[in-house]
Amino acid sequence: MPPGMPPDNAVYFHAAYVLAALVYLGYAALLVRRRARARRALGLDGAPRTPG
Amino acid sequence: MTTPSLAGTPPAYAAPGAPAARPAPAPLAAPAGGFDGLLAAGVLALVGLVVRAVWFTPTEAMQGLAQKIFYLHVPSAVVALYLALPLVAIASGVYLWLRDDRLDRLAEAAAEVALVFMTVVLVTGPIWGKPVWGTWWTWDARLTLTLFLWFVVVGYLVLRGAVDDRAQRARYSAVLGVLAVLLVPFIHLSVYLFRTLHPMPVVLKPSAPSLPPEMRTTLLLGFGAFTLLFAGLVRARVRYGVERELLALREDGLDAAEG
Repeated sequence: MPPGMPPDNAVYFHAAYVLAALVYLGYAALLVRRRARARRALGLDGAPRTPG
Repeated sequence: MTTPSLAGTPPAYAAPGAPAARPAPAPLAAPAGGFDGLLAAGVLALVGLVVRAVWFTPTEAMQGLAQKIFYLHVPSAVVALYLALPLVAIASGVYLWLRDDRLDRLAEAAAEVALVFMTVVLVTGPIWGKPVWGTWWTWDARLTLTLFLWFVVVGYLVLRGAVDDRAQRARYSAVLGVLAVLLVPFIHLSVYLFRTLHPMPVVLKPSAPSLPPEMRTTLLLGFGAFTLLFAGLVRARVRYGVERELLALREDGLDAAEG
């Protein structure tokens, strides 16, 4: 590496950003899915309601 | 559309001389469903931060691209340690005083989200450490205490899953929630008290922040983005807690009716 050039460590940078995105977006998606499932089971969203 | 709710049920009996029963909890109403604007705003803010950090913030001369891990690692740590865990402790402490179930649900939600943020801190830290320090991990005070706190938060959530009685679960976990936050000052001061590879704070310190203006702006945007994401995740998790409780109550009611 020539002097004065920043080191080439892009693989670490990419790995950190991809893993952090996976954790945050994965958890947000998990929450949204869990809520949708619970609301369907409660008959609040989109589930067919049985009369009575 | 009907909204399931459960009015608080009074205790079956009160022993003579026992303290007056606490007021019945407010009826549990199903939270709003549909599109979660706050959570969406948090996710969009995170995407905006990544765009700003990757394409509009200069690359540091000594560390190269790996330095940009800073914009994820530091705000995640700050939100986890100085926002999420104090929120767990305050909600837990006030729960022990008022015994309001809403506080218990808030503490549970904040603890779960704190675990997510701390996981990102413990994943991105070693990935940054390897190219800069030459090692993935070192057993110095800050890293070890942060890992220990991660296990305490895992223990908090495992405890909640292990106790069936609602009031007992809330009480035990509230005590642990208050105690867990006591590690935070030690983690903050560990870089001053012990020899460590971990750098000193560049923003949360008595003197002025030691960062170039573009990097400081990105870091401050990071604090805002992660705070918004934290708020969105906690609110969604609190709402899920209410819905899960309503579901459990309905299943208990069905079981009682069948029995």
